[in-house]
Amino acid sequence: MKLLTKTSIYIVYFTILAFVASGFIFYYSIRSIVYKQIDASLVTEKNIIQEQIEHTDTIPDFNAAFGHLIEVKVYDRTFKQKQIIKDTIINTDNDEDDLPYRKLYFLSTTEHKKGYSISISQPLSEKKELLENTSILLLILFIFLILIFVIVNYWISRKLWIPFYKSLEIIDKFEINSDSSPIFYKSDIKEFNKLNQVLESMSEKIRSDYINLKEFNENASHEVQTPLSIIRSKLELFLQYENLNSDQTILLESINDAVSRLSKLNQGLLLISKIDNQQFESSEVICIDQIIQNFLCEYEEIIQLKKISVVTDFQSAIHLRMNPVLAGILVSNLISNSVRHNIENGYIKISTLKNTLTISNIGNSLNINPNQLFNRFTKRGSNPESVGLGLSIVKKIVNYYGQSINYEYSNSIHTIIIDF
Amino acid sequence: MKVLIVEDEKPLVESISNYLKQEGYLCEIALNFNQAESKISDNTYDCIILDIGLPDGNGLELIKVLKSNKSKDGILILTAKDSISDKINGLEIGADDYLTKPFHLSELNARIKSIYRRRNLAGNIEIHFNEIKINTEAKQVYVNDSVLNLTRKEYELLLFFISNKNRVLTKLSIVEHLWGDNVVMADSLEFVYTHIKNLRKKIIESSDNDYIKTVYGLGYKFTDQ
Repeated sequence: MKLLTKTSIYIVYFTILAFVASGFIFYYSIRSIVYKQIDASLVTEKNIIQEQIEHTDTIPDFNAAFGHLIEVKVYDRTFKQKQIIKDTIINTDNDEDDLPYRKLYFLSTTEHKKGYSISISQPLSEKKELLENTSILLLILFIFLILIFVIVNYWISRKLWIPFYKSLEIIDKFEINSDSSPIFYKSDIKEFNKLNQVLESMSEKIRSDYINLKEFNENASHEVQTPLSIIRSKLELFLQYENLNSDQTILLESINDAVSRLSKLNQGLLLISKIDNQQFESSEVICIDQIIQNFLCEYEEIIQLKKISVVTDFQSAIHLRMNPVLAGILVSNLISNSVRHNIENGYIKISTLKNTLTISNIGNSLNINPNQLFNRFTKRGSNPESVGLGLSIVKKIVNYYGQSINYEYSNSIHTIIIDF
Repeated sequence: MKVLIVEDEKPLVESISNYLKQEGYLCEIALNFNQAESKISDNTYDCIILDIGLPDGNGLELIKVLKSNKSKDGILILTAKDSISDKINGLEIGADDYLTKPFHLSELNARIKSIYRRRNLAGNIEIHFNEIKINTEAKQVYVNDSVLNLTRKEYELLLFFISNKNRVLTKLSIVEHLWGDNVVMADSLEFVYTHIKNLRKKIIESSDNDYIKTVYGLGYKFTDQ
């Protein structure tokens, strides 16, 4: 969810909550004011009537005087003075509906020891109507206010967050192996400036660390070559001794194998770092299907010995601008891979269509996560001849030229597709 | 044959000269650019093994010096695995061949011999090993003067064996010689075995001699001893 949507939703929640609460308070305050007024007028009326009864001992014509329902009764007994004000519902004769009234009921005794009661009922419907209308008006006002509030907030937030989105875009486009650090815009908001500063120094740090690491890898692989050459040459001289016994040759053989693997590993890592460093700039127009044909020709015997049949289907010639060394490595790694992971009497199918190269081979299912297939040191089984760099080199080359590579598997058929 | 080894890593120089001396070569050593420069101006060599990355100068400069002196010395350059440009530049300005480190001494030996044949005898040489005769120009093998039909790989294998006769060749050095060191195909060591089996059979059939000896665990040796 977008930040602006989220804040807007929160604002709507809380303003509604606040408005509902204040609406209730408002409604009940008004209501209590209205009731107080009604009660006060009821008491005033009652006082006038009471005065008249007590002083003149007569019952006046109240209906004409006040327009309310007033009832006075005189009794022959005395009452203790008592006053009750309450809501009630009265059904007047000319109206079928029950109507709400505010009713005052008063009991008292005159000086002549005559008890009397006064009940005054004042209709509430008019006041209620007023209250309802006020409430509706208030509600409309509230809704209008919420709307204005959300819109203004959305607009302000959007304006305020612009530098943030700009920084986000820059960070998104940041590439670790780029030549320069990203440059962030200046903002007049202190926090965003601080954020940009942090991002800037962080990306610079990441970049320089990456470069250092890359250089270290490169230097390490480079420097390892010489001692490896020495070990290998000494070992080869050692092998020439005539009187080696079988224990010694077994030792020598495993040393030899280990040195070979180390060489291969080093060679692969060097190649990867060279591709990373874009040291394969020179390029020429090459023909992928021609390179494949040459490779198949070169390795014909090996492929035949493994009883693998190769089917090629070149629908279209793929001509590319590429470094010929990298193109050769790409093709050889792909085909070696499909030979290595083949089965006896299996097959390899290589086809080109438009700008797509598809290499599929039959083979056992992967025992590794297909997503890791193109990662370094992902190996199927523990084949000592494989160091687990082949396909990661393929991916490096493909990415270097901005092409895409995909892997598919179904019914024991592994397929690698490259879109040039 | 007189060989100059220009290489700054002493242990490596020792290995190379040790191996080549057993071939009966005369080896001279230059451990840096200056030594190499004075040696090539005073002497001529059949082959110069030249490391491009010298501490006090670029080996490519030495090739330029040799070429400007109209030297006929064969040049084999040694490059680091990752300097493809050095390799290409070296060949462009007149080196005969290149090897990338780390290399097999047997491979180096075979390359030197091949350079020697190409330079001194215009490639037109017959290599003899007892009753086996190889014409490297026609890429033809004769046993007792009758043609021995070999596949391309078998021919390369035989030439590699004879270039390194009486030496133990590891399976891996054979694989790398036959298919290059960039790609080692699946189970290629097995294929070496198959190729060797076929080659051995063909030689035995035509000459009654089995020159290819298996050195248990390590590899093979081509010898008549």
